[in-house]
Amino acid sequence: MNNLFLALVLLLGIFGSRNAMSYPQFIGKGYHACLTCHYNPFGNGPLNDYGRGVAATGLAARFMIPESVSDDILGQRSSLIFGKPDALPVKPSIDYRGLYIKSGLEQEDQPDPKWINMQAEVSLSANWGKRKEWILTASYNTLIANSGITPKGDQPRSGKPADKDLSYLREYYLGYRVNQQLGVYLGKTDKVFGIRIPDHNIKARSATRNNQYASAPGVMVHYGTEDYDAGFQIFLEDETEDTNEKNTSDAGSGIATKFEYSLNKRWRVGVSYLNETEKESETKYDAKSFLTKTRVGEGSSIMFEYGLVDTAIKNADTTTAQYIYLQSHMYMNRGLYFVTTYEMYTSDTSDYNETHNFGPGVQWFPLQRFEFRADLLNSKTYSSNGASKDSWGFYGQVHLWL
Amino acid sequence: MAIRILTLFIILFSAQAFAQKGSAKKYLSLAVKANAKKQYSRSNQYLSKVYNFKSTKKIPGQILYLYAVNLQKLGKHKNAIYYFNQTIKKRFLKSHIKTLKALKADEVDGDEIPKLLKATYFYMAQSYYVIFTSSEDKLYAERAKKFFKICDDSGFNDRCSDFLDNINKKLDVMEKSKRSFEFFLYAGRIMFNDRVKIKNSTSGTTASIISNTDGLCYGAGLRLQNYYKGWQASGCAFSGYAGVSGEIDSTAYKQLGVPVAGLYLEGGYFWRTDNESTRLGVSMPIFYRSGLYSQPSGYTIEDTKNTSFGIAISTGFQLPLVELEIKLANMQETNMAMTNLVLNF
Repeated sequence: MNNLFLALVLLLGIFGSRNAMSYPQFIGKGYHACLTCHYNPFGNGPLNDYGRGVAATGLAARFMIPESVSDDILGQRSSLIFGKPDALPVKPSIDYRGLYIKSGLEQEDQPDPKWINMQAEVSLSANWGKRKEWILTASYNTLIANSGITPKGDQPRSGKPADKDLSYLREYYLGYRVNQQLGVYLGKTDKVFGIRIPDHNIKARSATRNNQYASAPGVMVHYGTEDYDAGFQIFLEDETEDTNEKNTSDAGSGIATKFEYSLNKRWRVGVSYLNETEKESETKYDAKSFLTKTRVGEGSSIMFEYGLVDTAIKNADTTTAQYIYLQSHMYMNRGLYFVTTYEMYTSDTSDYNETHNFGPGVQWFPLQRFEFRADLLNSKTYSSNGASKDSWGFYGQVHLWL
Repeated sequence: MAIRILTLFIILFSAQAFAQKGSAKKYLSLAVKANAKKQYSRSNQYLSKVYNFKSTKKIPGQILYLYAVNLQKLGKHKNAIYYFNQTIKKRFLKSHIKTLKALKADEVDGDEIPKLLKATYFYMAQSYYVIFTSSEDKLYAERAKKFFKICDDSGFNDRCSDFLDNINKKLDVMEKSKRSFEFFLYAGRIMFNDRVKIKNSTSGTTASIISNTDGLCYGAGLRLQNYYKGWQASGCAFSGYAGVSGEIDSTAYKQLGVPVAGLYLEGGYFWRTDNESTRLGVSMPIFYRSGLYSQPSGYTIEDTKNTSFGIAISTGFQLPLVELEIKLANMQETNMAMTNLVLNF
């Protein structure tokens, strides 16, 4: 399995391919809608040709690239072999994300640092038709056994089965754009909820059942204009997967919606709603959020989301969780951002038990296909149990895409 | 190209106007040749043998032009400008007035401006440009822009538009480099984690207990800044409630809702990384905190008043009306985070 994966990586690396770097923070560069750069109108997954070009020519830095190589050339190189986006009918891509975690910095006896392979994904996409109205995408993620390892390299990631690859089809769908505004997508996609940031550990994602494993099969409808994007999704439980293996709660079925409206060229506001039922545990989740993204200056941005998640377990009281997500990306230089993250989370609003996380960080795209990120996270807890010491963690991330 | 035009004019002029005087003709010819060889000082020396440049009344415009060009090449720009002006006054006054009118109406026609006048404008503009770049006096920038604009509109030299761009860029930088004071008010949520000591009054043993405070901070500050960076001093007074817990003599100590108040003062430096809308700052804060911790029987709480100092970083984003600021500070045993709304005046 590992050899096959390695061979695929090499093969696709040689042929050039697609990538996946387009975040909602790029409203700071004037990109409001995900569909501009992604096949999926709500983001994540493979980039379209335009998105690839934008990443190369406007978003990533030009580290070690001589001036003689113009942005136009970089844009051409961002596409498939020989700079011809349509050279192959099916466009492959590879994504890798690795995370270095050093937690408990406040402790005298600090735990060992960890390296976690968060994503090792191969995707194939096709886009055809007179208007390029048909879209077919499949993304296969393989997390090699013991991928969350200690420096000794002999321990599986917490909660993960030892010596067993964690492989699954993260996303697959067939999409049809009825016209420029309306699109219908059938298959497995991320749920249409909230701001789709890559930080899956943020409560705005994890507490709303939108973590890295939460994609679900179903039907998604997107209607978008220059001023707004609206989405509705009916999703089903993915019976083909053993979700416990992924150390996440069992998937459910339900609906998810999102509506985003551009108040002006710099500011977007929206609301989102998700209702999910998990059969086995007879648990219902009801999440709603208000979100906003704004461009500041010439390349900076602020994203904010406030949400409530009601969890109703059979024969138990309904609890309401509350979260705030606030993240700013300050443009320092082309490809370089100073990131400030703040999140607040309380698992039950009827209790006094709040967690506040603050984090300065740096995000750097030295070249197209490379992203590095370093975040320091300070976590404060306020609860009726008294006071607890702040915790500190360092998170370093490497993201490569081919 | 301008030099070639100049030389041609001078030679023609010399041949016609000074044919009667052999020595003058000789010196003028030498002056032209010296100019062509880039021997500008020598060229002016030859001209000075024929004319007294202290009084320009009797000096033909072309001679003044050559003299001015030489001065300009020698870096004597103010003198060069004087003689270029004299050239215009002597020889091209009507054309000059007409050109200025056309410039005002944005109707400059290169065909209607004599070539030597266009060259005069070009050189004069360069002199104004050089003086502007060294003095940063906007008056010279405006004059340089005027003559480069004529030059550009008349199609005399391709470099004129580049000069115009450079002047505009430099003016922009000058404008953005201007320092000014900015007063601001702010209010926000302050959250900090610090320690107090609990002491057994009998045995004298002490233990450190953790205090988590959540409150509101109201403050003001002053910035001395330009478009790119600046200095800032600010302070706020806060009040809030703390939860404390710890252990001493194997006994748990816990208290919630402890009234806490204090001051946060800081001075620091900041950069505006993405035009005036953002701010990334580093500062040195001094933090004073006082809490009304209750003392269990047989124990005393120490450090109810505490002063600490350290380092802070902050980011600011200008939104409509207010600026959003997030600040993180580490001050000895105090970790602080603030989210503020800042009103800049």
